[in-house]
Amino acid sequence: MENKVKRKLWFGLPDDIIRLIMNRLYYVDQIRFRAVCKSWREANVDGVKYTDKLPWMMAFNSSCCLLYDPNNKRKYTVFNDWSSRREKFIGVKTLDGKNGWMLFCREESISTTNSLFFYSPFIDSIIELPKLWFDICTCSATFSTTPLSPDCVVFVLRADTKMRYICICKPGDERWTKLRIPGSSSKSKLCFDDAEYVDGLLYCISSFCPTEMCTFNVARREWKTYAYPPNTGGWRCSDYLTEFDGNLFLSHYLADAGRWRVLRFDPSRMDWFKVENLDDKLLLLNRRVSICCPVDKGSEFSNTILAGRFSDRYIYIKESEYESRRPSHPKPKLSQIYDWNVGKLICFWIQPPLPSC
Amino acid sequence: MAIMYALKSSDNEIFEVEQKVIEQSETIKKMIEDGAATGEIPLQVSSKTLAKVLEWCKQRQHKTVENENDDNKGKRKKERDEDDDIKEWENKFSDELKADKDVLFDLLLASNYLDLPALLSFLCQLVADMVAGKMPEEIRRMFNIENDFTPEEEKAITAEHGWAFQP
Repeated sequence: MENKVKRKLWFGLPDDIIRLIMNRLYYVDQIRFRAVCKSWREANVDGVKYTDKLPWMMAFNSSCCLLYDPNNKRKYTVFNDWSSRREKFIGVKTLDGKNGWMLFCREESISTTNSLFFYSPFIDSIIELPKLWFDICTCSATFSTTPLSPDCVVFVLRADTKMRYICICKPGDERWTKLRIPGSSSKSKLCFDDAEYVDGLLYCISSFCPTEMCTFNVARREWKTYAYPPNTGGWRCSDYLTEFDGNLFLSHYLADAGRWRVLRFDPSRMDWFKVENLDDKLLLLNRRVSICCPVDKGSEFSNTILAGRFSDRYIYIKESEYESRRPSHPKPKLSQIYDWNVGKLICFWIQPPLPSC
Repeated sequence: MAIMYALKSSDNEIFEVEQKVIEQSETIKKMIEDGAATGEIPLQVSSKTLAKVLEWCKQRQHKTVENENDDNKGKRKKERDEDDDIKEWENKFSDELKADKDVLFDLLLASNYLDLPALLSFLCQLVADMVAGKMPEEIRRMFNIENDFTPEEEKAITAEHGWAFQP
């Protein structure tokens, strides 16, 4: 009898305390914690965050998918030579990643259509989207939030010789809605370099011809055009948009000046402001998936920009140096930074989803 | 002369405590401010747990009083020594709770009920450190928790995040 009562003890931990404990756990420990008993699993975990600082990595090819947890320095196998998954991942291109989900595109071999789908390595789950009828390689694409949320909207930005278009859909929709992007000039239209969704607005940038930033109000379907930050450092290459904590950041490398510049967009003043200090954040910049994350003060990764492709060596710049140093050195390999040699796998940063998602 | 209050545990034991010590509890502080704390203050906390709560509060109080009396001379060294002392005391406190998880559980609830944020935070960190890196079965064994999932439910849970349950 006594034993029975005791067994009930920890089972009855109030939700408030469960949340406080979970807030002090890494993502992987939260999953195991919630698998202990029913009441811990059913606890309301709204607003709970994990203690992981650095984003995870997802590495895959058509026959395997691995996750790397840099906080515990552990590698996990999501699937390995699982034949049913193979076809899905042959020739996929990564479009974007957010909240633990990647947006992939797969070219169909028999037709000219493209399949878009979400994949979460954390729950090994696929969510298919309607097919698109054009080549997506030159397009920019992003999405608003986790595809499990009813608020999820997917955006694909495209340009042909005459016009620019946006294609919109929600998971579960049967087809895409195609809208023309107004404000076309006689100039040739190139597609946007990057797009990022922040708080109801889709921000799209084109750094060349025309050089501008457009915003799309998703609810009102309204477009606005804003000035692009003035070009102070000569030839500018690689413009990246990154969202953090409801703020939009633009980062680019000023080739002539040999340094990086980071700017923040202030929607109330409708202008860009230079970010002088990264405040112990780490910026991971990539054409498809860019992540900004706060890290421990004074740690190896604080005030650091890592940019480039995953197969390449990284441009690695400490903020104290980012005004002066040309990025010729040092360029540690990804395997050095993350202590993981991914070989020939395709690799992307990915942040685990929050427990309430 | 310090103002004393009498706290009565759920099993009717009386604890005489200085106001400064017990005021760390927001719940009791409010009772005192509202004038509701006349005579004995009855608490829904067992004497065993209340003794632990007061042990924590006295240690914290001790620390703040000493800091107030410090002059700047030799303060840094003293602070360092004190930090070591506190660490040592906290380690001992943690070890006792790890050894008696029923008290740890009661103390968690009591710190929540008495609104002692520092203690609650300390205890939650202690539990988090205890479960970190452990599989559900190990956690169940540690806290004596029954696995109340049906085999089907358990299978579905571990399948959802299969990678996280790899040994």
